[in-house]
Amino acid sequence: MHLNRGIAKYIAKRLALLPLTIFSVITIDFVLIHLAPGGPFQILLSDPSFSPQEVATLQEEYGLNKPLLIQYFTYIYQVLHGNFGISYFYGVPVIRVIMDYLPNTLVLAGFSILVSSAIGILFGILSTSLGGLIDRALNTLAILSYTLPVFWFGILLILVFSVSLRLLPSTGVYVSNTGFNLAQYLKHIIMPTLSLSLLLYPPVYFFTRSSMLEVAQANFVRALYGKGLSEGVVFRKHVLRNALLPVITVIGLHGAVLFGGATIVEIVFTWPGMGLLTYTAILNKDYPILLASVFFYSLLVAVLNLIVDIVYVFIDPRINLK
Amino acid sequence: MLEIRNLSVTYPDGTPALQNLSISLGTREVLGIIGESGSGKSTLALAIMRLLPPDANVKGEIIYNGKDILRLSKSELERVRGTEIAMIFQDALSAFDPLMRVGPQIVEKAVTNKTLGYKEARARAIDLMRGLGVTNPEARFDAYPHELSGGLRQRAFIAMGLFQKPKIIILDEPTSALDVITQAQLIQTIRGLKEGGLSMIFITHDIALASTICDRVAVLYAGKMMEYGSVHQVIHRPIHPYTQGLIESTPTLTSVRRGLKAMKGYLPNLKSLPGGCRFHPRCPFATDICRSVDPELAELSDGRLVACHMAADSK
Amino acid sequence: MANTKLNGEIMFGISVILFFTITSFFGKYFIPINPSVQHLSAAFQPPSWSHPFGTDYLGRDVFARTLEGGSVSIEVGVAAGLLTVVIGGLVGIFSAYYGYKVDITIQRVVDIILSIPLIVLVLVLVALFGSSIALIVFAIGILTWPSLARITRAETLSLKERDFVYAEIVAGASGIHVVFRHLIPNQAKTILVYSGLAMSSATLIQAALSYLGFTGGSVSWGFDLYMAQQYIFNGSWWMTFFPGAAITLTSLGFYMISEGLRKMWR
Repeated sequence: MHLNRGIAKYIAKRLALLPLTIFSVITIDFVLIHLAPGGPFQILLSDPSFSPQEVATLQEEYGLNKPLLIQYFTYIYQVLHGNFGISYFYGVPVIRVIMDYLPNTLVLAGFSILVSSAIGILFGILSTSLGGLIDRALNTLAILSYTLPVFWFGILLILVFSVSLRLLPSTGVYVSNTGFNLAQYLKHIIMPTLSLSLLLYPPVYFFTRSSMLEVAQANFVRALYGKGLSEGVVFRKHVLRNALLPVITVIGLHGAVLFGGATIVEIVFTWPGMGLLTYTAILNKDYPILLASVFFYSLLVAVLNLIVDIVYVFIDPRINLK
Repeated sequence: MLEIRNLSVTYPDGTPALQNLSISLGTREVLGIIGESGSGKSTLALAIMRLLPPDANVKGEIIYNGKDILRLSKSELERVRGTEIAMIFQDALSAFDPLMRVGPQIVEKAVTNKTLGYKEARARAIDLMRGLGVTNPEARFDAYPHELSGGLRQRAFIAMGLFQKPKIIILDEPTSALDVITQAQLIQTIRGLKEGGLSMIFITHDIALASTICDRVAVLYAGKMMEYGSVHQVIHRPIHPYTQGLIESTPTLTSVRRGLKAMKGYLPNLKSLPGGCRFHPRCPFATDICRSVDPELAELSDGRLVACHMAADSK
Repeated sequence: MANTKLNGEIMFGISVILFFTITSFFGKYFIPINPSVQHLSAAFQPPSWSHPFGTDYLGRDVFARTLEGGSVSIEVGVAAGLLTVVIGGLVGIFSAYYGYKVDITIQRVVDIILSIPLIVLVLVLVALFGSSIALIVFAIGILTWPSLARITRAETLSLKERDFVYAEIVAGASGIHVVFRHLIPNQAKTILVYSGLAMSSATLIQAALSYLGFTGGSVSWGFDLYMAQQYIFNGSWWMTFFPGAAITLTSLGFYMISEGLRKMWR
């Protein structure tokens, strides 16, 4: 680990890029609202539960009578203040709803990153050290995991563990009459985590494998043997660290896949996270929530990328930022 | 010290990198191996350390301390490498783990084997580096490989090689990647090592360089030894046409004015060597027998070995 | 060094895709059982001789549904995959070729699209614009091209430096000419390999969409899985297993073609 002014400047630069991405997403959101045929509220007009007067009032409230540019800037202003409007369906500020669901997605994502990275790296190491048949088998397994629909895997897990074995609960977060129960929570999170990990581990596996093969050929490995070090030491102290370093970037670059997969998994297991929220918002035509979740998703991905970049800069001594 | 008998190395794709090489290294001697690319000189170095890829076909014997290196067990080999025989090669940057600081790598073997405590090891390494001409060795010890200049890195590499106090050190083109000034400084350092009593195998393509350090010299061409004798014999009075060609085509300050005399032809492809003497297509003295029979190494009256039909005549 | 014989991966991939294409599009002419006929009294039957894959919640034969349910998946898979490849390829190449402002703008767009989870965007588009097959193909296509664009852009950037391209430019060849006559052919293999991958993911995305209810109209494996999950505690594993396996095989088929091509051309 080493800190210097260069790193601080790099972090600052990356943070500065964040607003640009955020603005772009806000703009896309805005464009999407107005692209829907007939404008944002037209769809409601065809919905019998909204009378034309109610629609007109809503339009007035949301300032849709004003010119587009003013709407755009008001929208930006509102978003930056955390005001995403009121949910049609829940009737409360969108931001409150999002804050209820977001943490669950983060927990699921966090666990899945850990599990999938562990599996991917472990398999990658096994593949390269043991080689031959095991390598082929793991390779095929990874390809199969890659092409398997993640929701099918989830349903199969439910079939085995909830229906047949009656070991794990199939939906929701946890049943809590007595407050937070860790065992219950874990029981509920295992299958969603496993499903999401299935989706995420193959790229980690493939990359670990190729990285290890590359490092094994490197010149400095020869010098290490030349010093008379044993294979075990060379592998553990040197090859492993050099090979695993770039794997971190792979783990991070998967932000969009991570949260997309999380969405599907949440729906399969009725896990109350952003994915489930988004899905129900679509079914309920709850546009404020929908657009806010697009915004938050890209925010999450951007933050994840930022974290990975910064971590990488810290641990790779070759990066010279003076 | 070291005796190599009938060493032959063939790569899995059939390339004969070394053919029947026999050579020896005495105590406190600097043996020069001279050759161009493809001559087999690096293969020789790797073969001695048994660092060739596992699918390479290695025949012959390399006797050190009464035992054949090629037949040693893994643990014996690990003991010999680094502690008895060390190797320095051309590109110092690719010799270090880029993620670790230089110092810990220099002392790595000793510390891992618990022969030395870290503090002592560090002190010894710093002294060693200072002795090799490294300025500010304490700071360099904690530097990362990419933070050092080429010359410093090479010295650190040498320090890494010398740390275990080996009896033999193999240097494979240690100065080729450096600029002339650094090269000269490094040669000074290496000469110091020679005076300190180390036996060395110095591999290079640069004849002039070899002449400043080596005691005896072997000239390799396309995997076979062509001439072998003292520096005085081989370099100042070369007999083999290849050696002569090498010397004549080496630029010196005077030849720049007179013009270089290059050897005609090109290095042969090892997979398809010419019949007979492998040098004959480029040799100004080639005759029929040269084209059909591969000459054996023969001892001349002054004690040197030459593989040339023409040389045998001019005894 | 190309193998002139088609290797195992390609054979597997082609056979699977061919199989499902034939059974999905032409199955009605030769498969004796009708996948849409309901026999409520014979619902939830396990696999047997008369119903090799069992029956579903409406008494429909799962075997027939599995074999004939691939039409949407394959259509969307191929169409969206092609769309992705065409857009991604061209955008990447032009972006690298013209460089500077064009390149930077497109790069920003690529970054932004890549930062939003695919499913979410597709869902939003489908929610706003309806769920016809055309829209689904379009949505998947315009959201997955950035990955290929990055690859073709990198390739083009390096090709651009090579002499023969430079010679053409100096000789005054138009951009379009250079792109179509040189840049594309040189990357044809990479692009073809990628198209297999694109079709593989398009199939999976379509399956996910139909699982979520956006089928685009006809019989689809994903939706069958949704219904299977509704009745899951019934223990009728066949309702879950076979449609899912079909999706996996189809997606795997496309992937194997891609892998096979890659091995053949490396």
